[in-house]
Amino acid sequence: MPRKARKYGGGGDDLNITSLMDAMTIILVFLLKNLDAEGNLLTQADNLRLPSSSSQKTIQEVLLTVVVDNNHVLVDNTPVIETDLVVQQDSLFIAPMVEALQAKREEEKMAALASGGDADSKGSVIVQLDKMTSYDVMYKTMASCGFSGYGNVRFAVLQRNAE
Amino acid sequence: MAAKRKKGGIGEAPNLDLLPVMALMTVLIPILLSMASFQKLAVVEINMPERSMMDAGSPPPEVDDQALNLSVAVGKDYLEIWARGGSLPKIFADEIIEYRCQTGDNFRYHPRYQMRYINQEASTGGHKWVQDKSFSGGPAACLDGTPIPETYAKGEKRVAQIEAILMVARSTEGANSEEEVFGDYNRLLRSVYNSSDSAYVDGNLEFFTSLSQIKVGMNVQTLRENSVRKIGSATAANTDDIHSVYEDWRSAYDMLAKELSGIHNRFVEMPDAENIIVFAGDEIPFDKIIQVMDAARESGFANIQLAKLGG
Repeated sequence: MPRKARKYGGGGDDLNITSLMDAMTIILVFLLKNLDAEGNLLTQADNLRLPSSSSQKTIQEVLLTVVVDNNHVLVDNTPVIETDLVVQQDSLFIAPMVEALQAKREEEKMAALASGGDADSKGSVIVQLDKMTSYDVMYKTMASCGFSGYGNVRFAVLQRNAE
Repeated sequence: MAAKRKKGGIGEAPNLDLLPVMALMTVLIPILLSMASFQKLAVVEINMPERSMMDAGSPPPEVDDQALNLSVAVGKDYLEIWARGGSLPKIFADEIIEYRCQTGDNFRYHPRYQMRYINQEASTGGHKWVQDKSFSGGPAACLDGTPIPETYAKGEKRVAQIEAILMVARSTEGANSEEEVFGDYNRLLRSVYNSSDSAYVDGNLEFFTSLSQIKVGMNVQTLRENSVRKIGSATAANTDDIHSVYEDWRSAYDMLAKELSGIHNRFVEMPDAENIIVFAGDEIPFDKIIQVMDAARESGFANIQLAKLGG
């Protein structure tokens, strides 16, 4: 220590930060490598705990999300009906949800027609459900999506570490 | 470059001013850190039946007797496999709920026996769940005694969150009735798991029942295909570290996966060998459905459909 002090003492103006730079560069490269090229396509809704799954399928594109939490059913981030009402109803089709979804589907079809795409293909929707949501609500949500022309239903899950 | 060389002179190292670069790094690193996602999201796909609105009222298509017609029924305390109109013995299971309280306590609660288990090795990341003797029974409660309500009123603050619902398999050996299976605490099965929570099986696809059966140098596998690996004293290629192996309740989903992969291998030439229908009752939580779908997908059933049980 005394030797070091002698070497660097006195001058004071020149702090050697080359080694710190090395460390920083390594961290930077590591972070850049870890960063998903796609970024976060889907943000997890608040007060929603997704189940964990071993599914390795990542989200490719998100056009529309349906979120069912403890209080509301949200289509494209707009609340359409209270979850309690969904539990109480007997019908498989959640009327306000079907209405909202069909409107969205029409918009998508028009957009597909305008751009020369296939307007008859099945729409896809990502459904975010709380892990404690009952199967009843899940089934009604699915049925409503299917009925509104969204045949590709995907459930968002948290990816569990692969073996 | 040429100009630089001229300026530097002979024998004099140029003193680069790295401070601005450092400043840039200090900004870049926090930004990248905030952007990085540590919990990756994925999706689970299901197959919706292709029936248009026109025939929504007509009866479903005829069932082909020659096909496999595989389905799994998910109940509150059992899983049952149906194929070709017959069923395999039910896999009976107990629910054990893992809670995390507001105070940060993490414990498991066994509703059937009103028992609480705590993880003795939680601080080191281990899994050693032992019965909490200080808990005197009754409904679930946090470690500080705050009872956990079964349902919450609207806007009510939550006391605890359910982290996971374990389906702990029960042995049906020698039992003649459901009462007998559920009557004996010792029928709850144990298994040995590796660090990524996969159950070990031996060469005959039988589960290990105790940690003492696992020795350094032996060959084990998980329920996945081509998963044979050695047990070593450190992690390496195709070797699992014996220190990361732990014993826990045997999951009924693992038992299901084992049965399903057996069926998949036996009936691989069937036209509907990739199809499976998951049936569940109204009250079954979404988490269980996802776990059953995982077990089915890992066993080779790519086309998963969902249906309602009863009613």
